[in-house]
Amino acid sequence: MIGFLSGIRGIARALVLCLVLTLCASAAQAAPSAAQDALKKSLDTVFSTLNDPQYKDEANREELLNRIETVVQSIFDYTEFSARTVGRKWHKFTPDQQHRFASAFADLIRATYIERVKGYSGNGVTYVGERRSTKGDKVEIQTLLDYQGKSVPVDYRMLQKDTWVIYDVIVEGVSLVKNYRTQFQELLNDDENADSLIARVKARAEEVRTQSGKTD
Amino acid sequence: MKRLTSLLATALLVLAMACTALADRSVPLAYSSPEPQGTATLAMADTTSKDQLYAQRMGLDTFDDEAEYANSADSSVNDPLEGWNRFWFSFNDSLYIDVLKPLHKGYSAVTPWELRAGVSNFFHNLLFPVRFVSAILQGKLADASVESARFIVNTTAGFGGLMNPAEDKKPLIKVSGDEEDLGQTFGAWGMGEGLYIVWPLLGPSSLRDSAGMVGDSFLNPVSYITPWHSSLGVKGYGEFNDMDQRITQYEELKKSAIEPYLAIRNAYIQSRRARVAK
Repeated sequence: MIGFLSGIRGIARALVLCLVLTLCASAAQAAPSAAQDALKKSLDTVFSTLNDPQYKDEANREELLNRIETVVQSIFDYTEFSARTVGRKWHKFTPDQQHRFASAFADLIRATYIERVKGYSGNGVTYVGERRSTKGDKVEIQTLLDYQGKSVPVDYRMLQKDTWVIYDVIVEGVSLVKNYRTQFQELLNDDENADSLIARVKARAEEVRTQSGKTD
Repeated sequence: MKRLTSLLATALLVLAMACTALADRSVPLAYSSPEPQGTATLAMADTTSKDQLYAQRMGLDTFDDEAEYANSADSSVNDPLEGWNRFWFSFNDSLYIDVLKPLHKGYSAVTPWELRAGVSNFFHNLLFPVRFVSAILQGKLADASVESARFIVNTTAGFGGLMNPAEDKKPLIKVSGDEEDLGQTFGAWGMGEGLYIVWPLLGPSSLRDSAGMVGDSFLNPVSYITPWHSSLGVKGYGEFNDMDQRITQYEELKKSAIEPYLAIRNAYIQSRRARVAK
């Protein structure tokens, strides 16, 4: 019995030590950075717009999407995003092609991802941490999104231009940039040029739009 | 008895320390590959060592942006069976969208959501051995203990796992928060994923994860129901009950993709690699 008790005490001591260690670890975490502030400001606007009763009405849906898109445009850098998805061949694109590619992409993102948030009802995001790139110029803000009763890890990669902007979003470990990149790389290897790639992105957005129009 | 318990306590302490050491595995490379042409015109903030020092001082983790997005660092996938894979990919696609989706719609229409949630919780709780054994085999004792606590609470207070009262209880110790399986365990032991393979009905997998799935089924209590076709039926029902979420996820990814086969393949590989690293 005494042996058992002292064993319990031993375990308790071990547990206390563990607890102290975890506390120390969390105390070392940094205060929110400028990047996180910028992200938080944008996401807060998105969620408050979504919860705004005046947009609950079906008739105002288009306006709701427009407002959200404006916020997204101010923080999401479509050009940086597009450049990374294309990779090395981006520099073979003419400035005009680059511009058209980025806007076609923005259109696809609007038709798929932004369209998806309109039915969102959840508790928004919690900020769980951040990482810096080894060079120190980029930041990854790690969040948990409350989505359909589950918390989904969503990380935002950001860099500083005039303001902090997002250049990649990583959902459950899947980087959007890398995902598009493998697709484009294969397509560009198959002798497709910039213009046909732009056409494909445009066609895709159009297709999605008619599809969701049907199901609505 | 006394010696045994204090030995146990010491072992626990040592393992708890080892746990934090093992967690360092996920720290990325410190090497930055020079990438002159790829990102030349992208915004390159001047790289001062001040920033890096800041990151170190604040104890922040780092990621190697340039190596990750470098042209060479493409997440290459070994896909020698592409013909077979593409065939089953399109087979599964029409199975999910044209058969299972409408079937599930009918099923949701005739069953209350409480039942569907209960069934979902029940099967998830039943798979505790898979998560527990995999966590132990990876030396993730904190994860294993949190899984056990959840299992005990949900099995007792949750009426045999039908309810999930442990769901919103936050663990006091730091856990990775992702659910372990044997495929991830093999990955954590250093095994590569091998080739990419799409199974009929089951969907995307890799050689390593397929071996993991076989092992997982030995840890799944439902596998031990006899006769074998009842066991298969029960498993199938459990999967079908949760099908809607999987289908929605799949559809959304497919919608946003330019080349759906490549998009799904890459998403599978990326997410498995991320889960192994966790």
